[in-house]
Amino acid sequence: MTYFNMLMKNLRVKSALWIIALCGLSLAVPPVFEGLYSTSAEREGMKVTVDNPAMIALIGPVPGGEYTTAVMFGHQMLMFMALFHGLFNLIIANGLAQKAEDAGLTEYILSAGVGRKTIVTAQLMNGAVINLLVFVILAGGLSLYNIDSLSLYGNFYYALGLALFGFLFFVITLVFGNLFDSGDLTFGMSLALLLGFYLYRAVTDALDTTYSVISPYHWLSRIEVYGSNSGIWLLPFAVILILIVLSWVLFLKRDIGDSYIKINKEKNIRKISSYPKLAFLNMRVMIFSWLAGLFAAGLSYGSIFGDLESLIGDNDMLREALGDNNPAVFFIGMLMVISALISAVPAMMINGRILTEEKKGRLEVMNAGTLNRKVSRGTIFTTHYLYGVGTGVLSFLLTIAGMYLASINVADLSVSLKDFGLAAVNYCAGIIFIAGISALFAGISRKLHTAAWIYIAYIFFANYFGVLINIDEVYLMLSPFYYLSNIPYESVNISAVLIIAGLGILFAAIGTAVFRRRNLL
Amino acid sequence: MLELKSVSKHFGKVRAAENLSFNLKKGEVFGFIGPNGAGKSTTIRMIIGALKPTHGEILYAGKNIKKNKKYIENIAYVPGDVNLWGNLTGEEVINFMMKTRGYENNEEKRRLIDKFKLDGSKKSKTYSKGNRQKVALISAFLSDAELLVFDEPTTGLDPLMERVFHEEVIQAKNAGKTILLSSHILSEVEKLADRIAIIRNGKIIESGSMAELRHITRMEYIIDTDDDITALKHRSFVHEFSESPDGYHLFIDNEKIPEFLKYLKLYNLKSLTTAPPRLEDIFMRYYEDSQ
Repeated sequence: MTYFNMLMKNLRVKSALWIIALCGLSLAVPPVFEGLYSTSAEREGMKVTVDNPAMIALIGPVPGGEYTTAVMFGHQMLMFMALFHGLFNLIIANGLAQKAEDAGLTEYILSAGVGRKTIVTAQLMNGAVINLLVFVILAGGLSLYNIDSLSLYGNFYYALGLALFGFLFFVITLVFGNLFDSGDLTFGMSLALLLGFYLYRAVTDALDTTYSVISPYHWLSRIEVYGSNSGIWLLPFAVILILIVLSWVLFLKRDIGDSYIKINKEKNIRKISSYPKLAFLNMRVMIFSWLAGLFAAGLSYGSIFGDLESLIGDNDMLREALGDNNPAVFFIGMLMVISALISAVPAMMINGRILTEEKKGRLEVMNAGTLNRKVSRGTIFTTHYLYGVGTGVLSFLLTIAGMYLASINVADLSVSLKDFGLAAVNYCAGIIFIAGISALFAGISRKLHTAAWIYIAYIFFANYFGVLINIDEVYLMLSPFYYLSNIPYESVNISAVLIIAGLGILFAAIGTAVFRRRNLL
Repeated sequence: MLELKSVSKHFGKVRAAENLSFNLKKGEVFGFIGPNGAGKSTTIRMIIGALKPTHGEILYAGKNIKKNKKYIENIAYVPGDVNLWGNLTGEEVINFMMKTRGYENNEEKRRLIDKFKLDGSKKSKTYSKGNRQKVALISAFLSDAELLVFDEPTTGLDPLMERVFHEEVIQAKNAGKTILLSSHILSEVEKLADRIAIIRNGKIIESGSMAELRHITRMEYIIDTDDDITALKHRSFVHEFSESPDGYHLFIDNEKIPEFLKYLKLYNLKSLTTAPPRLEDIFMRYYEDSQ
């Protein structure tokens, strides 16, 4: 129990910030929807907008029945919120279990007389408490609103669904921690599963929802919160119980520091003669997983382009709403922006790795005594920046290539190969811009880099809501994609591409210059 | 070859280092002593350029290091808490440091790996603190840097390895290298250093050669005897006189040792042991003097 208290204390600030941010995001939306779509005609218009394969891939199948404010809220928020609740739980669980073990903390705790059972129980209870808090805050917060359609049952299912989804990934991460031999790998595998389930249901939701049932995201869709409130779809979450037992047994039966799956036992001494080589060796698993993952994402998006075209290409109402262009093309453009944003994530992660070198004190040890041109601070910083930008751009090119390859057989697709090429060039500028922001912040201070993450999360939501609820343009002005043209919907604006990319490179150059001079803390 | 001129480092209101001045001469071992948190690491990290001084300047070979960025190529540094890349083996790390320093000396590498008894084929993440320390120490001794900077290098090493380290320091010194050795263990520095500086709360309180500093060290004597020697208590050169089961404990001013020994002849001693001066005793003495 004392161990549980200690973990709780250690986590309180980090988890409180996450919970406030996540619940705040959920709670902020209903009044906005209520204000924007006050009449049922407006809501039905929205329903038509989201009832197409591109939007279904993004936010899930449209529930039956009347599209009330509450139904709209549940439908448009659940998938994304689930993704973020999953990420939150994954990070907390990994820190609690696998990272603590990597750092030798678990061993230390064991030596202090805390039993193995106590350790697992305390970790599990932490997850339960965190998600219980999420449930209470969400359910309580939602019921404070004076919006008719926000029913008590609906609030209950919305909050419980997200809390259970979060806890599911908490437990999955604990199980993976036993299987894999480092915190980094555990994080990677759990994240791959979290994103994999999302992408899988994106494809199956758009094509045929019967295949979606494997994905936990789909369970949330099927509850149809505020609509039919089918509580029966909470039942699959009972798999959590099996996973709890599994994490328990796996942990009790292994040695501390050991893992059930062991990979890459290299015997040869590798020749590492420069920092770029070293950095590549350290990050290659991460780099290749992102490249493969985003190519798969591209393929899955591309596979729905055909349906998109046939279902909404000739939809007069949408055509009117979007001007004279083909609506399918508009949605394809939107998917491309989102893919570009996702591609910017590995760029930032790789860039951020320089801060790990700094924090661990390896940077200064490397600097001392080594030839300045080989391992100076500038070289190391530039290495991370270039790898970051390179991986980001390459991930995006692979996404586009995936989209193209998967849609190659679609007859009379309104998007040509040339459009794909132009889109690649156009949106890459945004990635270069975001990587530049990341380099600038990392260059100024280690802690400031967190702000770069907040920035990218902000752009993500600004773009997401920009499409859904037409938020005021002022909020979009911080996003590089606001200035880039929406390809293939619009024609390319070369000067915008050059300016945005140029700014990104300029930011990176400033970041490098500052980094070379600042204190390493 | 290295000179600090009134160097200060402030972190907000915290003054981690205040007005530090000292210099290292070529070919000497310079001991840098102080308790944990005194500012040793801050000072060292300013020397290697990780931190920028708030005031003052650091000169390497007569040139301000701000203007001569390449000075760092001549320094090898081992931090107090060594972190390695978990996926690389110890030997891969050593090779990497060798390659990026622009030379190769496999014979010497073999010798050091054997001498420090390091298993270089294991991944760094499996290493204990001592083993990580060894990797960094081997890399540093192997380098052709002129100045070796060690920040509390022996924490984590067992006594045998500590001795190996001491031998290597002496060998490096004989090879003409300059060594900056920070430590909170006075006896270690005393054994190796030609000159020392003592730092406390960010300020240097004493510096000079060991001989010059003898006035601030007092030797502790432990005397086992059946005679009553409490009379000694009142001599001016005797301090902190106390009785315990293993005998009488007393501290004697270094310059008064001959006189003290004369007194001892009056008694029948069963045993006489001395304990080397400890850092805390120096600080005690320092406070007494400053009051």
